[in-house]
Amino acid sequence: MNHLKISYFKKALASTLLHMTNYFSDYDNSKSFPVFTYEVKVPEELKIQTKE
Amino acid sequence: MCHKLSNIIIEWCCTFYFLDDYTKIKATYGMEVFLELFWKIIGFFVIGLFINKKIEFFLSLWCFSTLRLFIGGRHCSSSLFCFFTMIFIGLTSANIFSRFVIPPKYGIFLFGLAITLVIRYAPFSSKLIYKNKLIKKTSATIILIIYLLFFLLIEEQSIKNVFLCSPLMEIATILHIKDK
Repeated sequence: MNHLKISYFKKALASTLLHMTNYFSDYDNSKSFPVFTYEVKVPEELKIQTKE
Repeated sequence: MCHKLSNIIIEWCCTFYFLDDYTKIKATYGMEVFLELFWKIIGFFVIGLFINKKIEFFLSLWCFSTLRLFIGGRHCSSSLFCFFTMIFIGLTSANIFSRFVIPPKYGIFLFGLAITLVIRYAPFSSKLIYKNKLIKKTSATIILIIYLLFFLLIEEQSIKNVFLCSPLMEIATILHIKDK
């Protein structure tokens, strides 16, 4: 029973972490500029093309 | 460090859920951004607790960051350097500038100068479309007007100076190198 509870908790934690990353991975300068996190290299796949 | 840690965390998450390559890259990037923010904010709180002028320190970081969200600015070359620069900005605002007595007319003049510089140079990135630039300029101007009101209405010298000095330091980061 305890094993099941721990397993469920781990799965819930993993799910929460993955959902959280969605919010932080939204790299778009048109919304807001990075304040402390500029040095994090944005992967090429995520770069948003903006038109002048 | 944060990159390695984010890789480990996302790999652990992948033991429970299947992620395709793109989602995995996106999640790793998001986790890295979160960890970078997290350790810096914890660091600011820990350092802030050990200094005398706590309110001024946190207020100056808040004023600086709020304006930075809209106008951007030059960044440091490394994460650690960025952290210490923010500490320096907080301490300078809280301990040095807060000692000066700035008459309201000089304050209004400096805010006028700040608004002019924001209208002229903000936002830092020229890659944005015109509409977004205009939104950011307007938002930053509104924030500066709110700071001006705080500066004029608050009587405590050290706190009112923070509302003037932090934005000026932030605006200094958008000057000269406008964009590459």
